[in-house]
Amino acid sequence: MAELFCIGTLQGASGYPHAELCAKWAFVAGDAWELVEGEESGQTQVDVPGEDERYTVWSHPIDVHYTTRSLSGWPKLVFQVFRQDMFGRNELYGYGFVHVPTTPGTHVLEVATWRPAGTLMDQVWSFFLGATPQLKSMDLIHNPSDRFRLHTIAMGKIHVTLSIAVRGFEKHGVSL
Amino acid sequence: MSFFSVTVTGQIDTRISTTSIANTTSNTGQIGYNSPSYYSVNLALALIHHANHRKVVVSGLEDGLTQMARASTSTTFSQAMYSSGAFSRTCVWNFPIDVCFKSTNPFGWPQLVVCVYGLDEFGRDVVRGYGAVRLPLTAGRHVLYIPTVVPRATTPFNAFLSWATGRVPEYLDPNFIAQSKGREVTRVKSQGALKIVIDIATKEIDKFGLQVSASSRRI
Repeated sequence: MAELFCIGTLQGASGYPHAELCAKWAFVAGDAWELVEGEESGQTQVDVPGEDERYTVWSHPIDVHYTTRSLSGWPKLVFQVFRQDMFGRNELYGYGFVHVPTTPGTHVLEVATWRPAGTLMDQVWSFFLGATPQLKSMDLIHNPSDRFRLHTIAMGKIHVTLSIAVRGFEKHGVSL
Repeated sequence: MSFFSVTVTGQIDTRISTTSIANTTSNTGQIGYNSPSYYSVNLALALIHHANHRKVVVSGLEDGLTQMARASTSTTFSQAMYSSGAFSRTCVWNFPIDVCFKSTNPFGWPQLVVCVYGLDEFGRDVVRGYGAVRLPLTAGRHVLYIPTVVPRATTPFNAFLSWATGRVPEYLDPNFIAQSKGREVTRVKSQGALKIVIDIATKEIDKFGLQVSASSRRI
C-alpha cells in the first residue's frame, strides 16, 4: 500500500465579475483509493473583500491522507464557485477541477473556471434575475465524456497551494 | 526510526495591505496603494495549531504575544514590496518563532495562526484580522504571506451596533481559522496581510520513508 498526503490551502480567487465568493470543494479519487484521515470535501467562507476587490480570500485548509493500491484514478480537486449577493442569494459562478500533482513538493496551482452559458433565453434570464444555468450532474466537471454538448463562458481563477508527500511508491517501482 | 522531527525557526515580520497579495497572484498589473488608518497600532497573537494529536512539541513555545507596534510614518519600502508592486505603511513586529515538533504522520501538519488586534477610533481594543498559514513541508527558507480576515456582522444593524459599542464580531476559538469544519456559515471581510519568514529543518523524514520534495531521493 502506498500513501499520499495532500496538505495545503485554498488561497482564494481572482478574476471574477464580483468578488463576494465562496467555493464548494471535494476530492474525487478512483476506486482503489481509500481515505484514511482528513476531510474530503467542504465549503469555504464567504469573503466580501474590504480592501482589494480583485482578490477573494478563502485561506481554507486542506489536509487529507490517502492509501492506494493503484495509480489509476489519481485524486482530483473539484470546485464549484458561488457568488453571494447582498440579499444572501447564491449564484453559480464557475466550475473547475485540477489534478493533485504527482510530484512530491509544494505546488502553486491555478484553476481556471467556467460556467454553462445555456440558451439565449437562459442568458437573458440570468442577466435580469441572476440565476445562471447549472449542471445537473457534478461528474461533468471532471469527466471527459459528454462535454461537447456544453457551451460555456470563461470565469475567474482559483488559487491553490498544495504540498504533496508520498510514502511507499518507490518500493513498488513507481517514480513520481 | 520511529518518528521524524521538524524544527521551525522564523519571525513574524510585518503587517502589510492585501493589495500586495492581489498583485502577486492575480497578475492584473495594476499598482494599488492602500493604507487605512487602522494599520497604525497593532498587536498580534501567534499560535501554532496542529490537528494531529500525535504531534508533540519537543521544545519551544507554541504561542506568543507580540509587542504593540506602531507603523512608520513614512511609506516603507522593501524588495518584496517592490516586486509585488505594493507600497504601503507597514507595521513591524519582528517577532521570533522557535519551535520543534516530532511526529509519526504528516497528517495534521502544523499551521501558524495569527490574530491581529488594534485600536479603533476611540482607543478600544478590537480584532483587526485572523489568519492562518500552513507551515511548509520542505526544508529551507520560506517567505510566506498570510491574508487576514475578520468576521462580518450578520446584519447592517448589528454592524453599526458592534462599531458603536466597540464589540466587533470575533471567533470564540482563534483556531477556527485553521479548520475546515463549519466555515460555510461564516461571512468575512478580508483586510490586510502579514509577512512571515520561516526556516524549516526536518530530521529523519527520509528515513521514515516519506518523500516531501521532488529532489530528495532522485538518482
